[in-house]
Amino acid sequence: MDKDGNLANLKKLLPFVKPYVPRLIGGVIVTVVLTVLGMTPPLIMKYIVDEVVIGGNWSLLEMLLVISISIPILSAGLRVINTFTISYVSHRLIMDLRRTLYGRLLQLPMRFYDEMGTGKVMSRLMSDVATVRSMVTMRVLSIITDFITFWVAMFMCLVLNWKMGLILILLLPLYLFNYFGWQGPIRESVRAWRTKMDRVSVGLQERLSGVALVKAYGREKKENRAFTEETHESLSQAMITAVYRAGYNSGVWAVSGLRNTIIFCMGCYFVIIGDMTYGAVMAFLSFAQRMFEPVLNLTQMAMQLQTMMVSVERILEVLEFPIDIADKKDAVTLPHVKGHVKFEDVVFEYKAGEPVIKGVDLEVQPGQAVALVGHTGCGKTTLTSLLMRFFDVKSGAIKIDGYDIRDVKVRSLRTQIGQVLQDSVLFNVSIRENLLYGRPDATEADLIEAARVAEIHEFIMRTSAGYDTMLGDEGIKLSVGEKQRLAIARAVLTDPAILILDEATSSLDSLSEALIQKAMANVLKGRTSFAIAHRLSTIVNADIIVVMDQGEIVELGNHETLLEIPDGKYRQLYEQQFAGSVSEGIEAAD
Amino acid sequence: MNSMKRFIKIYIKPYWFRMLMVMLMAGTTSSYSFLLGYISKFTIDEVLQLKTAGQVATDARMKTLSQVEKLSRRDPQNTLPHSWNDEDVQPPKSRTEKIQWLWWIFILYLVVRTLFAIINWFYNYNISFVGQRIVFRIRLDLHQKIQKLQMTFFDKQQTGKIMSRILDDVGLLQSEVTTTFVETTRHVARILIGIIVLLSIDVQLALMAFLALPLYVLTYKGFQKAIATTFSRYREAYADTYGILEERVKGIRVVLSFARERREFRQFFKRLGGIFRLGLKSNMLSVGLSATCALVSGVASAIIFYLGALQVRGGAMSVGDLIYFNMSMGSLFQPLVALTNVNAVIQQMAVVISRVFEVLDEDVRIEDREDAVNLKNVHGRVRFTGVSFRYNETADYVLRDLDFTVKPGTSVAVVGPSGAGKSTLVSLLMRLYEPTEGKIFLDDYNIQDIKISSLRNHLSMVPQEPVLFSGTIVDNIRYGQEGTTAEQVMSAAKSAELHDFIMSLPEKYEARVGERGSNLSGGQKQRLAFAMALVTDPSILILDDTTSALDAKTEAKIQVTLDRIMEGRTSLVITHRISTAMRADRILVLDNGRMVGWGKHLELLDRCDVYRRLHAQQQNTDQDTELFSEETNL
Repeated sequence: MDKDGNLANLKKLLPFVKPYVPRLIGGVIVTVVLTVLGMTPPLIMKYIVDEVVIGGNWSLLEMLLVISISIPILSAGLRVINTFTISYVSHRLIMDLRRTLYGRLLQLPMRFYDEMGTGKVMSRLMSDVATVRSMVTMRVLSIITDFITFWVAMFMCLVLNWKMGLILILLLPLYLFNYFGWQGPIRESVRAWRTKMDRVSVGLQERLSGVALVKAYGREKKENRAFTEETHESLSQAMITAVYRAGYNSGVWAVSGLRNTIIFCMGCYFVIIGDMTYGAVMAFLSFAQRMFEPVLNLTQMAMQLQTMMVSVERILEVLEFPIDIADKKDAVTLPHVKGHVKFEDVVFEYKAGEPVIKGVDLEVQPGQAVALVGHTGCGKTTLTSLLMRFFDVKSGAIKIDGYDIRDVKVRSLRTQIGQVLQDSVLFNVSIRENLLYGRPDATEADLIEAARVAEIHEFIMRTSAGYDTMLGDEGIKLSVGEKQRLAIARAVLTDPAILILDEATSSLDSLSEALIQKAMANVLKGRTSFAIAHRLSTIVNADIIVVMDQGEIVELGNHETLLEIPDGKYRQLYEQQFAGSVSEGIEAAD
Repeated sequence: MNSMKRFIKIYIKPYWFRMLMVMLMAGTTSSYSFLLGYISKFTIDEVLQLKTAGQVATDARMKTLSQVEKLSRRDPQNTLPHSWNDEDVQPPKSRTEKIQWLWWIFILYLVVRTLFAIINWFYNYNISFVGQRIVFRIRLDLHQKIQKLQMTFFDKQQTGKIMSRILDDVGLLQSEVTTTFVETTRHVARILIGIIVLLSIDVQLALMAFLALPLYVLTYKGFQKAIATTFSRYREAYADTYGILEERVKGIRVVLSFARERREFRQFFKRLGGIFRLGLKSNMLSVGLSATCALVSGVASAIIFYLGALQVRGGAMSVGDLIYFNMSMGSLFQPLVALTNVNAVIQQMAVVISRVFEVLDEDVRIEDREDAVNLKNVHGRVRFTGVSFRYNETADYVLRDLDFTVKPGTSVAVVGPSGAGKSTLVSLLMRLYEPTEGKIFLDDYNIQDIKISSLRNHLSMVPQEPVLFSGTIVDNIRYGQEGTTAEQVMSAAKSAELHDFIMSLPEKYEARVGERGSNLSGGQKQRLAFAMALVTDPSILILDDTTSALDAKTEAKIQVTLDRIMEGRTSLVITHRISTAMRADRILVLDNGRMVGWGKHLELLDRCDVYRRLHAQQQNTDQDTELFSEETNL
């Protein structure tokens, strides 16, 4: 079952390999030739020793010199050709795979990212692909090489002297026993050591992140003692591992030593009784060595294959994740948007049977400002995501200027809606490149105008390189307020008819606060806007306040009309908060 | 290099004897392959008595050449007696003699092999031993140092992130240090022995062989440089792509909302192309290196062997010597290459080592004065006079000219927007930092004149996010004070209103708190932190935004506990919530490091702009948790 699944998975990757099959076959053939060439030096050596040096047939010496020089030249040339072929294929393969994966990623719905998380996406795209690549090309070739080497060496040994060949085969299990005998304890011990090291580093992390507390309680000495203890434990475990490793190493020495000793002495015995030539003994010794080496590689193959299958599976997870949101065949380009937005009985669910938005009806006229309020999880953010078409509605429809957003090209929709996210994602490039992100062809004047509107121009001019100042890792660090204003400028530059604002919750210093409010007022002018509001000013100034609760709109109106509803949710809670704080204040003052 | 010397002096020297032993063992094992070659030579020449049949000597011998050759093909043993060679010094051995000799060689071989296997074991074991010990010592020293360092260090270093990296880096030393030191000895020994062996066999041939060796090294060096640059460019390209990709994946909403997919895709493709070219180039260079090296050593060996064979023909060399020479020369190439790598490894080590010393040499600035006093009873008056603070000379001031007094037993709330300097103020009081200017007094003592341990015993802080350590509940509560009795622990837990919960657990006080206290709820963690703070029965309590991470319902309950705990204690309450601040006797408003307000809630509403704005803003910022949550309808 599992194997069938693996096979089926591999088949799915075949199309990636297909274009390179002729090259791969060429590579395999050259590899075989190379391997066989690699087996010749012991034979040449045998010939020289037996026929020429001992046998006295000196006329052959020059010819053998030519052969023994030409073999390294030939194999060097072949190796270069072979590596070029194989590297070319493997790097192309990795490129094709990554390109396809990334193309897919960009089409995948938000749901995918929510489920997977950045780390997992990254590992699929980068390390898993690399694993597959090295398996498909390098491993396959080394398996071929190992396989041929093993059998040819064994064959040669048996031909040179079948009795010694048999002894060699009998020694092989000893070699494997040593490996597998030690491998278990070593792995166990390494695992135990890792666990202990983990404990050390967890403890360390704790102490470092809580360093203020450690100091506050004057626990430095105690912590040192604990750390010493933990580290010492891991040290002891490491030493156990070292003992095993040294054991394994010496085991290899012992086994290969025994092998060489027996072969050498037996070989010499056969030389004495005349069953063998000395050159043959030498050749036998090198073949024996070549026979043993590949065995371990081959035994590890199964494990490596397993690793690869896991990677393949993970890559397929991305490739086969359904694309829910794609342009319809007859999708039209959304014409220049005026900003009329209508939600018609919109229902949406992330998980079947658990609706997050339960029948929302809302009509917004061009240029109106909408404030969405309600506690976390009430569906505010989801509603704006639906408008951006990050998700498709389950039933109902969202219409912009009368167009159902599912009937228009996604690109034409999203380019006309600006969005400012709560956490204001900015990239580690210059300020200019960040601002131009949505509209790379904007003029300098447009750029500065957008920055002015977002009240960030002056700040930018104060930075060392102005608009070319780098952000992020290698550049300047921004405060929350500056980030938000940059994000606003970025959105404004595309001059969207509809703007979605997800206000940050954190409190800002007085200057930032004032600037943000001014920026907001500037950008909302003449645009339809949806604000997930956290600021009183935003809410009070909104044309429509949408009060949401558990995926439904419970109240709709502006600040004044909503306050007038007796026992209305908005009024009730607004007053409760306001009155509550005042009375408490009086109490405290008393 | 200076730090390297110190490193050797401080960390390696204590193990000098073991290191010496290991190096000796390394030297011994390096002679192995030559020993093996010698045994072969001895066997060929002395036991098997193989001789060339084609020696160019007198005409008479030339005549017999073809005859001998034919014989040798049919039956090699017949070539052995060499009865025609009357100049031969050794008498030919009989078959039984030879077999007897062979037994001796068999035993010698086995003994040597066993001996070397044992030496090898000790060698491997001791390398690990020394390596692990050294790393162990460094880790301990680093840790000890961290514990002593002033808090400013941690801000500079992003809260210990880099520290833990250094501790990991040290692990690198473990594998590299000893191996590098020891392997270098091994290689040098091997090369020296090899050169002597080659020269002792045949000076002329040896000199010829030495011509090939530098060629080999030069090839290696030439390629190595190109490989290193290409590979580092490849890695850079890869890391860049990785970074950019990570950004895009994290900011996928931005990518999608600006409909930038096509452009992103094209950019990514371009980058992939770069990676492809560099990857291919780096592979080609690697194969170029190994192919050329194989070529050089292959051709050189062939030529040398040819020349050696001619020597044998001329009678200047025995068959055994030829083979011995060939074997010895082959084992010279590898250590030569390894030696060229040593420098790079040492450089890498030096970086880690100098980083280690950087930390170890860091100034410890907060230490007890010699005449520091031990405070017994503290009333709990706290006074700041003209206190300013900045992290270093080039940084902006975080706090400026703070002047205020907290009367014993009263509470002061510190409010202000994030980044106003609230937490720094507390750190100064705890003496985690020293004020840049001004003084802080506890009762009538400048806190710099009080022993740090004494000061911190009278002050307890409940951090914003409770930091719990893996261990049992009682371990955690006891954290603040060694040797507290079970009653004290229990009474602290009772004060924190956690006792009942603890008793409901199957293991009661011995219940384990998981990593980062994961099996406790937010409120329980917070209460545990209270208990930790209370076990020392401090006169001054500092609450650092203690309730901000809790939901409203839990907060309301915790608040009741807090009120009780704060009774009779001087308390400093850091908060960003006006509703919390209102409970305090006095409110201190900070904005951009300056004190912009001091007084009671209503007074401040009246005259402090920042306070008023914070208050107004919170009608909304708190709506998620308060305005619209059912729990506040209590």
